[in-house]
Amino acid sequence: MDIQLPQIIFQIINFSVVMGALTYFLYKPVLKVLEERQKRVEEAQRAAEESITEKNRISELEQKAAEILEKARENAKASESEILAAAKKQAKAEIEKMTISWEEEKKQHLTDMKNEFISTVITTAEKVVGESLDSKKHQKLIDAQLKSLLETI
Amino acid sequence: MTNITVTTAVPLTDKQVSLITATVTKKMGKDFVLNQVVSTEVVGGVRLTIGSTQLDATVRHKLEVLKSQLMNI
Repeated sequence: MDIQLPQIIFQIINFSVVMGALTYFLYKPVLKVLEERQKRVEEAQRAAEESITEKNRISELEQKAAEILEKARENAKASESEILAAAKKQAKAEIEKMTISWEEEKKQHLTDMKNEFISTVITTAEKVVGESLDSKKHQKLIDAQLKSLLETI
Repeated sequence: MTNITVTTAVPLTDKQVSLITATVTKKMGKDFVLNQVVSTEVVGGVRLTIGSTQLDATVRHKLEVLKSQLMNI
């Protein structure tokens, strides 16, 4: 079998044309499809990572919010207890004050009543004694007391 | 000279005046003036005021003492 130069050249050209056609019509589109697919995969992966990061962030925020809420609840509870304690203390003080005031008022009222009663009794006694003493009794009383008084001089 | 005032609800009898004069003369000498005051305010009994000293045996005074004691109970 003889090697013919034109045939070799034809084969080379033919091969080159086939290679060029394959490269242009097959290799490049396939490569492009693969690149696009890889790009989409990477984007999806990046999106997934971002989603995970966002989810973690949201979770952290939720945890922080829960902590803040719990702290606020505790503070509110403490404030409520303090307010209640202060209100009870104030109410107790007011009751004690009112009781003392009432007792004093009652005592004063009783004293006034007693004094008024005594004054009435004494005034009545003066009147009764005055009316019951006639001249003779007056003189007898003066005699008795004069004797006693003169002894003390 | 000492002023002696005798306060009563009715006028003193001569006998009572004599008794006062005799007793005061005996105890303090003759240097005094005797004043007689009749006032129904005393109710009964007698009050002797010798200078600044008061000897009160009136019914009013006794009732006032009683009133004071009752009010302090």
